[in-house]
Amino acid sequence: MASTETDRQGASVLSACADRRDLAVLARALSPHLGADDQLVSPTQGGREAAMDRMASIDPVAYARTRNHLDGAVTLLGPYIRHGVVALPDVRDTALATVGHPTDAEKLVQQLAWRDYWRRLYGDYGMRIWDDLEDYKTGFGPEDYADTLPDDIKAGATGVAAIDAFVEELVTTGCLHNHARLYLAAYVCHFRRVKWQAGARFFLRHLLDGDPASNNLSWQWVASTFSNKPYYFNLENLQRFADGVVDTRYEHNVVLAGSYEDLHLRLFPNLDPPEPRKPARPRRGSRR
Amino acid sequence: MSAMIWVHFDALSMAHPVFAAAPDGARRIHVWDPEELARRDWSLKRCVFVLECLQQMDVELVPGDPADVLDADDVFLAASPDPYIRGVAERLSGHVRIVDDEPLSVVPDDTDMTRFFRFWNKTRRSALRLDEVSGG
Ligand SMILES: Cc1cc2nc3c(=O)[nH]c(=O)nc-3n(C[C@H](O)[C@H](O)[C@H](O)COP(=O)(O)OP(=O)(O)OC[C@H]3O[C@@H](n4cnc5c(N)ncnc54)[C@H](O)[C@@H]3O)c2cc1C
Repeated sequence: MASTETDRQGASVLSACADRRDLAVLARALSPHLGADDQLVSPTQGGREAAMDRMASIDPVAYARTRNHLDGAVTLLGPYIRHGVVALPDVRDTALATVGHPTDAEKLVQQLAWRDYWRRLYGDYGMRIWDDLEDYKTGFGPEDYADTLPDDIKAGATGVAAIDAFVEELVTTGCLHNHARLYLAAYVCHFRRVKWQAGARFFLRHLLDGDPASNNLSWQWVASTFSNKPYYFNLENLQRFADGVVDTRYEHNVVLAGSYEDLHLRLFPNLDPPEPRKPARPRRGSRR
Repeated sequence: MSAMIWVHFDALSMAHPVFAAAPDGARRIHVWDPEELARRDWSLKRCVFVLECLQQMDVELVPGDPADVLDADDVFLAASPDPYIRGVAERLSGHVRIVDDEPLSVVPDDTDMTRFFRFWNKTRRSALRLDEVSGG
């Protein structure tokens, strides 16, 4: 098929962009939905070169030890994997090449498998991943949850310091650590009783790695519409994994404070009280 | 016979086998679909990230509806679970060739997909390439 003038312009329009400012102008010209108030470009750069830089610093052993900490040795490959800039088997092989035995990279490979798993389910469910896949196991029905995300959450102005910091990071950088996503999602669904779909839409708007498969199904996992029980956390857990990264002081995060038993009664009053937790058990936050 | 490669936003890599599957000279096109992006409500930072990825690839950027732009006898594209991508592929008038990438693991047919750890127990060995370790 012969190239038209417009097509040739299409080929060269990208190479004519000298820097990110030009790309932002191009994005605006191509995408009328972008509002005048949407001005932020992420510090994370797109493209294979940046992806390869991150691949070079994968450390599966440190990853397994520290990945649940907000300053842990995570790969930050999410956006590149989401857009297929690097493929899951390439990440896996890079990880395996750095360790003595494959099982030394097991935690990282298992996390890659989460993505594979969600994508396979997406292939089966299609647009139904926007529906509750199962009932809530919170003692509430969908009608008990608000349809829209409250403005104070969107603005990062809830007054809960850690939550506001997570929203700010999401909106300004398009990146957010897995544990911060879990905290934020649990806050939206359970502390504020908002439908997971509203939170999921907000994440997909901002996350550079936003992908309906991993995103919606993770939200459903937190909400309990695709898991056996709701995921929630308390201030003690937040302090363990987020100290030094966000403000976790009690007086700035009061609503998150309490034992798991107390929070269970407060957040899920219609459910039977939980079994008391043994102090030595691994924390919930380290489960995924 | 004309051929095109639809370089959609799930496979922004020249290493994807879709490029080897298509004949030499097939046009490589990323279609920027403003209606779909509006529906997804992608922020500016997401749009810029994708444009940066495209900038490092040898592809044309063409705005419009992919079903109109991808007007060729053969259209090659990377496999994707995304209903939008699948829906466009169904609307194309040309012959559609969907090219799979290497999977992370082999998933046996009887795998229970209702919970992750059931899936992981069945796929762990192949995901970790345990059976390929020499002497293992
Ligand atoms: C509420 C919520 C929403 C999420 N939304 C998305 C999303 O839209 N897109 C997305 O790719 N991930 C999503 N995740 C999963 C996970 O948080 C991100 O993949 C991860 O934080 C990306 O950072 P990283 O690359 O440093 O991850 P690493 O921990 O370094 O992991 C490496 C890669 O493995 C995959 N991965 C790791 N953990 C998970 C997981 N739990 N589920 C699926 N894949 C995983 C990702 O591709 C990731 O890039 C979400 C999790 C939650 C709890």
